[in-house]
Amino acid sequence: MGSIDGSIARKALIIGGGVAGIQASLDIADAGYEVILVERTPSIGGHMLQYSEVFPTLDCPQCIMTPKMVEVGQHPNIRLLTYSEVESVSGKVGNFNVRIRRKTPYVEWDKCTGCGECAAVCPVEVYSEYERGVTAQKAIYKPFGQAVPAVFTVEKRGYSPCRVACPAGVNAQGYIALISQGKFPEALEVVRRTMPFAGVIGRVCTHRCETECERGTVDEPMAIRTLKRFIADYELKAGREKVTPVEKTRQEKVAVVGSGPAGLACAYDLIRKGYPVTVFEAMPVAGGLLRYGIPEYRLPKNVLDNEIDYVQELGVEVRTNSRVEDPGKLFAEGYKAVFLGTGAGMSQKMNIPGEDTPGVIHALDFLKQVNSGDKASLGRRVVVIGGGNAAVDAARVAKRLGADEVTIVYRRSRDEMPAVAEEVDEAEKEGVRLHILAAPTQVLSQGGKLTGIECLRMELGEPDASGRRRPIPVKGSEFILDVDNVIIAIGQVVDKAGLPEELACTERGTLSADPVTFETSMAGVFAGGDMVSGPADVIRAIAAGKEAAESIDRYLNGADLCEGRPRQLNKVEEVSKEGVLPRSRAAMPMLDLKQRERSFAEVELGLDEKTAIEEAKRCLNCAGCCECFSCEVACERKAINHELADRYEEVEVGAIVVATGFELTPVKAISEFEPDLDILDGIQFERILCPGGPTAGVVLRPSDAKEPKEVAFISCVGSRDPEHGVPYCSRVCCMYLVKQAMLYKHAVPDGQAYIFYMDIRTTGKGYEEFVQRAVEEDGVLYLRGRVSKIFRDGDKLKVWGADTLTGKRIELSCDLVVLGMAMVPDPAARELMRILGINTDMHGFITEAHPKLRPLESSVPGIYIAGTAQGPKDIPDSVAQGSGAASKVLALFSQQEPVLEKAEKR
Amino acid sequence: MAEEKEFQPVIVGFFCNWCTATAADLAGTLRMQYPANIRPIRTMCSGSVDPVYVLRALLGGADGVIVGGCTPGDCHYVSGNYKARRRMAILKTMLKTLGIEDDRVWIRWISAAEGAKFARTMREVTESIKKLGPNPLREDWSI
Amino acid sequence: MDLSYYPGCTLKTAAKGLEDSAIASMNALGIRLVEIERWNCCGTVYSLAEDDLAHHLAPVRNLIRVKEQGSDRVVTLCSFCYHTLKRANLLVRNDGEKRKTLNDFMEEEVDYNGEVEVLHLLEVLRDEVGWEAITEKVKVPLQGLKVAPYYGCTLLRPQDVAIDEVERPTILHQMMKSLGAEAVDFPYATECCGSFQIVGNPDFINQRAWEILSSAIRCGAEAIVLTCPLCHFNLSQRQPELVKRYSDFQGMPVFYFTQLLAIALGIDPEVCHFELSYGDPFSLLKSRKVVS
Repeated sequence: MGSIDGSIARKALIIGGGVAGIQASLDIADAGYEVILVERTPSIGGHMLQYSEVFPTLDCPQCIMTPKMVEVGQHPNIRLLTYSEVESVSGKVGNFNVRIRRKTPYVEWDKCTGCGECAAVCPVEVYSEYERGVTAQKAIYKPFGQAVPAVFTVEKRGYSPCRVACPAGVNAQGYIALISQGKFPEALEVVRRTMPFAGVIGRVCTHRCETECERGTVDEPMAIRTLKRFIADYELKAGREKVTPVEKTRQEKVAVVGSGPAGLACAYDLIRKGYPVTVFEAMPVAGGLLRYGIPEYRLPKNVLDNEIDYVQELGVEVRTNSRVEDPGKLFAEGYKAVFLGTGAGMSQKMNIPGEDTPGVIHALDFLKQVNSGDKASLGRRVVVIGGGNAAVDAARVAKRLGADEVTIVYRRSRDEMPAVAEEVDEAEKEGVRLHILAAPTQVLSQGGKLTGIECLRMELGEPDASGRRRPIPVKGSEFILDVDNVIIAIGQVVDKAGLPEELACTERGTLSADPVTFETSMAGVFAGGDMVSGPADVIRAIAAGKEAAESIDRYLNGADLCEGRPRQLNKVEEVSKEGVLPRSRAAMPMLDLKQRERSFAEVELGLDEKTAIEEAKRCLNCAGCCECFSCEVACERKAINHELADRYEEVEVGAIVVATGFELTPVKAISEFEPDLDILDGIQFERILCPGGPTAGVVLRPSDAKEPKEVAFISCVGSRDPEHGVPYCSRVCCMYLVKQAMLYKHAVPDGQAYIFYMDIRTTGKGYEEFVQRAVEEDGVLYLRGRVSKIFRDGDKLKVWGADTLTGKRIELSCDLVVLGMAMVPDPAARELMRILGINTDMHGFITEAHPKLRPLESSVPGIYIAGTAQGPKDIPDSVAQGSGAASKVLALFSQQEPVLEKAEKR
Repeated sequence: MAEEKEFQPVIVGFFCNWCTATAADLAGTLRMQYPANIRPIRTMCSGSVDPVYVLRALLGGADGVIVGGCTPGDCHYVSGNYKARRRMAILKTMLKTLGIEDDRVWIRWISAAEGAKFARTMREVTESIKKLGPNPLREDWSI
Repeated sequence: MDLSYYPGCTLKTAAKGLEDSAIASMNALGIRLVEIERWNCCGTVYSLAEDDLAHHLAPVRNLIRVKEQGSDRVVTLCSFCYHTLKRANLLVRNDGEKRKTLNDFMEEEVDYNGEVEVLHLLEVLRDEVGWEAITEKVKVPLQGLKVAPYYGCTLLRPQDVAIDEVERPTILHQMMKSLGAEAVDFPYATECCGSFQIVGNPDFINQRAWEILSSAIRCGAEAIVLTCPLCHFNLSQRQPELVKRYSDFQGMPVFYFTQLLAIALGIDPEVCHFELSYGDPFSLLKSRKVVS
């Protein structure tokens, strides 16, 4: 085949913004052609920008590279696309169609001035690729001072498990990160973005977030619930200023029936969208079961009042003593949509003989009475039937009202009790007795007065539909408990009295509503909370209220209710726990048992400031950026936008240069060297030596920040090692290790540097002289032999090696060890090679068209190679290859049509 | 009693283009804070700083002068900084005879990568001159 | 369950404590170690010479015994025996020519083609019994006794016979944990004790043993636990010499892993033959109230 017809798109794509890529870009751009330079990280510069001084001239690489980087950034012919990756390539030489993914930095770069105010307030620290773990960086960061472009990027890794686990989507990572910085009001703001009940939920939530918490795999989960309570209490103690009412921008009135958590959460979201909302509550005071169910010692009324007031101050109208039965009537009164959240407030009957005897009370009625401030009179001996939270609450309240003997009777085992485990523990501590595996058969009375209750022992059989083991009565095992009162707490059901027939119900007796949109069978009527789900936890009710509010908003706008729902949150996949030391979770201080007697004072006392901050610091910040939005607030240019999405671009280019660079094999790959903070790879040591680095060029070792007096440098770690590493030589280690030894000696003149080597490969210009200088002027000691083991011995690192020239074993006691790790092609570029369709060798380096005579051409015409992606090499060679690849591209562009030896059609 | 305003020295800095001035740029890029008492003047080399410039500055009322150049051995023009060092050494002996504390003139070697060192040095010279007090010539002469 | 058992020479003499405590412990765990009949010395060292086939006759013959007696697995206690038998087994399995030569030479025996699996008792404890099952049977927990697991070489090198990860093995650590003891890490855990150098170069062994033992002591260990009779000889029987030479060394109890297993399972300490070890390891157990 001869030449391919078709004109050449005289535009070049350079993939990789290291020194080779930068050189190639400048050469092609200076020749007058357009260049698109794509770089995976937020700034160009590559590994060279991480070094302290480069051999053999000991130039400062930042000084010599930054002028070139700036030139790239400002060149009229170069379009710089950083934080971007090539997604797909099609076409052929002269006409490649490339799709590029521009990853979103969540910052509008044309507005960002790089001022850094955002990073100053960011509460999250993450691993820094540039500092390579020597120090951390913030979740919003500029990779280094001289970055091109000099703008900030936000690192997000997905959503943290706590946030995904919360049914209401409260941003736990966000508020905890702010607590760790002492920013308590800001932390509370984060919670209030989702729901208004920080103090309530911070006391009574079932904390599914804590079950998912990744910290739990290290030691114990974060005390997420308790920290939420802390920030609410902090504000309450200091005194809260009244909130400005929200401007009602909508005309459509919405009615919410029921002022429990579901109803109030729904109202909260709707008012913030500008809807006039009225909440109808049958009882004299708002709050639902939060007020009338949960006892004072678990949830003090002033905490609840404060948060309900907050909702009202925003503009929600709450009408108490206003029972609504037929939602249809509300439409007649002008409401355009209705949310039903009246809960499941009716007690389930036991249906045993004697249930109507005076002295038998149902738990919900009992709790309602006590929580209304009425005196409930109980006898000395009380039995509570049931194992849920209502039962435990009733039991602990009965104790406080003066009952001497309070017993809980439950038909299954203790492990199967649905009540929160900590509540059961406290109940027992307070003297409540647990009688498990028993169920009542009848209530006994004499002369109309309750005398006792007859129970039957149970044993556990096979699991039933709910998954719990079925209790089977043990025949003939009846026994009697002598009691004065029986409190029944076996379940709650929905009070369906008065509901219109159009409202469909489920088989279980709850209201039927769509699980995603919460629509009922009546148009314009939505429902959620216990009324729909049956008795469940508070956070689930809040989540339902929120979803219903979203549905109502869409309904009133005529929008599709289902689009994009349920919202998928991708949980962050891998969370690194490297270097995390176990520390125990903050313990909740509890009220002394003596002081709880006959008192409804709060039992859990909450954390103090210092403990809260210490606890918050245990958070692993799984997702990277926690979306606390502190950066958005701090940015005066309003350049930050957490909603920005990735963008895609299609470009047509005539030639591609691949200069994706290298990585070092990880230190942990070598099992003979015990992992240790003071065993570093070459680039980490560069960061410590670098005058612009985290230690400002003062050589300090990571473990204790002391100056190391004896440093061992080890060559060929992983290189020339077919068994455990790569068989080839990495070419630059001999030079950079001796350079680092010299720089170390310049910084610590009374220190001693040792280099373990097999050979000293100094093939470049001035290299041999450089090594001689190191030995003669800086006293670097070369030891010919390999190292078999490195381990810590107290303050020192023991290095076991050999000196083959004397034939002896050597044991060095060093302060720091630097390893010359093997150079491999950047693993992040592996997929790219497949996308480009170019051949790589078995180590991943790009295969040349001919190893001797065509070193810069890949197996695909039009795609050229430069730099360490082709094989290990030093900087002058990378630069030379960059220019070489550029010349290949320019040669192509100066042809009329691409003329090839063999035509390749893709 | 009238409030005495804290003495804010005026310090003139002669910084060589290749090293110290670039370090000053880096300090700026990294948002490092240092006192605003410095009036920087960029020269091509510390060796091109004529001692007369230093005297002019002091006679003009400056409370201190700092000359910044490349680290010894690394001068962009090979040996300019060595010349600067010799000149400043002689100048300081002269200052003593003129009744000006020789500690008002500093010479420091700050390479282009040492943004942090630049900021630190500016803080140090400002503190030092503050302690020395205003230029004594101000009292004798109306400058 | 029955398991074919190959003792090897030392187990009947100097290492009686290892054998008796192993048999008693395994009985308590429900496994009967059945000594194979007509076994011979394993040859002790696996010859590395390419053409020294005669040296492999000894281990292969033992494997033939196992095969003859109707078993496809054999467990050993001695690390050297394990190493030699296992490597000879691999040779027979992987090299057809040599296998043929060996079988032809031993014409009076049945042909052996690598049918038998060679196991070390630690593997059996980890894989067949399981650490949790052992913990359940522990009657006398070892009260957090600080023992440093010493692995030596032959159980871990070369990689194709290793019973655990070569650089950072944990099998003895896990065993100690399951018995209620605390496993103390120390850097010399996989360093060679010097092995047969004791014959020609005892000074070297003294140096070596002192390095190993004092390293364990520095890391906080109260005793060493090991598996190999030769290591035991170098580290335990040489201790009188070490006490003489090194003024800061006062001796350190050395246990076989099966001795600790037997004690933890509540078996009479007699089976451990502590009199064959230097010093009085039993006293340590008494002083820590593990035994009365």
